[in-house]
Amino acid sequence: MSTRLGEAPPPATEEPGLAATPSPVVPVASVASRGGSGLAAVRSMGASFGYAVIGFLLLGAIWQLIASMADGLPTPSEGVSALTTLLSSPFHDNGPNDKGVGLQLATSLQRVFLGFAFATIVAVPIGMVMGASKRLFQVINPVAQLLRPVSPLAWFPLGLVVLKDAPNGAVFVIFITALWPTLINTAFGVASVPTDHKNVARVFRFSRYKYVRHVLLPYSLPSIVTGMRISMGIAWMVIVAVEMLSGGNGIGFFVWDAYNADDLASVVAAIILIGIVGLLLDLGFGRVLKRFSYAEGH
Amino acid sequence: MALEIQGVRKTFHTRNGSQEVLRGVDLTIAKGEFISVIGHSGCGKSTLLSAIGGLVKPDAGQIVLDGETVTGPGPDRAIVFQNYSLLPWMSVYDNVYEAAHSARPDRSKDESRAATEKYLRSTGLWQHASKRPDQISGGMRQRAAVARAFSVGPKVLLLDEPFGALDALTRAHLQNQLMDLWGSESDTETVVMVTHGIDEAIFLADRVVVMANAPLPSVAAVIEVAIERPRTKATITADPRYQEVTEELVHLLQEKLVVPEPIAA
Repeated sequence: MSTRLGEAPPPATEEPGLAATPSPVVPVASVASRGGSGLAAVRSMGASFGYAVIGFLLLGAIWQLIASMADGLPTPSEGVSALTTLLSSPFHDNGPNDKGVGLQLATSLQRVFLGFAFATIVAVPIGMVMGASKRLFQVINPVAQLLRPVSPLAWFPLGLVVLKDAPNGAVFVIFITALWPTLINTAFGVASVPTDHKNVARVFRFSRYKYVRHVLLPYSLPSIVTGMRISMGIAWMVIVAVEMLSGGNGIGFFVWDAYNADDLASVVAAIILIGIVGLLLDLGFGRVLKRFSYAEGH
Repeated sequence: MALEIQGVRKTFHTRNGSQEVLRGVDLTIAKGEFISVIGHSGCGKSTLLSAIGGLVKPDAGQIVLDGETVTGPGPDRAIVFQNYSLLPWMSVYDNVYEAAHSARPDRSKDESRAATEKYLRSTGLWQHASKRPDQISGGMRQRAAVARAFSVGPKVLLLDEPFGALDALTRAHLQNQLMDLWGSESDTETVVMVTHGIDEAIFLADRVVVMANAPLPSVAAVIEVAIERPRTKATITADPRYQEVTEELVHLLQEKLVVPEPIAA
């Protein structure tokens, strides 16, 4: 994640923004052509599945070893059995202290999506303006660079005071979290439209609308979506922490609550679930990105 | 009326200092002429083409087309760029249509569609019109770029090393296609083509403009190619006048205008 969030050169330099974008912006053609024939593809998929199994078995072995040495840590089998217990009744709701893990995850997802949506609505237009105007870039970029490295959790008290409500404070924290990667990636995508494309628009006298619609947006969409993908990834990490602070409900609260009930096996189960949900979110964005990517013609 | 280039100068300023790329270029191109511009790398030939296209503003001097000074891009001129410059997210059809339609607001959508179809057909791309640029070959991309330029119906067509990246057979094929389009079907009267290839420059042009590098980046010589059309590769190479012009150009480019080897730092 640090790749894209690194120190930002001004947009006017020769270095195109996409070059600094993390790997997800891959021209579609190169991905597609790697597939090969059907049988070979199935074989290579089988092989990578096999390697993944080896990785998880290794993890389990190391974990088992550590659990046998440290007192109080659940073993892998205790974690897995806690997971099956949790998943046997994911959506029960017996009052604020006994909710199914599915409900907790849904609550967290809802907060993440809400904060993320607000952040996207704010960050994309500002990022586009920053990318299009060198001067506005110079106005906004220092502010963004100063605020970006701040842990979003530091904003939680401000959210609490302004919104007077812990769950909304959590949404506010997610909003702040999801702002920066989207903002900066959008600005770079827009700023790095190649001169060739601009010249085409000039020679064939594209109107401003047509330029935005047919050159600027299609060119910068992969960068924008990549920014959103990074924002979503961080937001999903931050929600766990902020819900430990905000309390009440959500998967972060669930983890903290399980710890207080001395139920570490459930903590382990929650970690696995959080990982799976995060992976699915990222895969979803990967799909969207593929949809908006284009092969560089030359 | 004609295309007149009058005392055009251009200097680029970079962090590493200034580089003068055009110093007092004067050239008058008659209506209906095919001009090749040839010279070593860095002689400013592409800059001259961009200036005619209205993409680069001269520091001094002016470019006058049919009595009007060029101040920017216009529908009377179209450029075929060096690296095709098709928009990679659009189909071949849309690449041509969007350009044709926005460059010519005086046309109706149907007229723009008709122009698009006409030039996609005459460049043999009609059955590939729905493909995206990455799905077709380099030669086809270049034909799409040519179709896009012609579809605007420009008086002056500007080509910036259009066939440089193509293999010899494809290049020969496209040269013929360009001649056909220019000679018969299109509204385009005048062509200015920047090239590296001596053969290509002579084969296509009525006059070959030779440009020199610094210290005097300007027109060094203009050589007439008085060979009647239609020309074919087979007939023209046997023509003594062709050999004469080739020798003259080779002499100019390889002996008189030779660029000193850069001294290793």
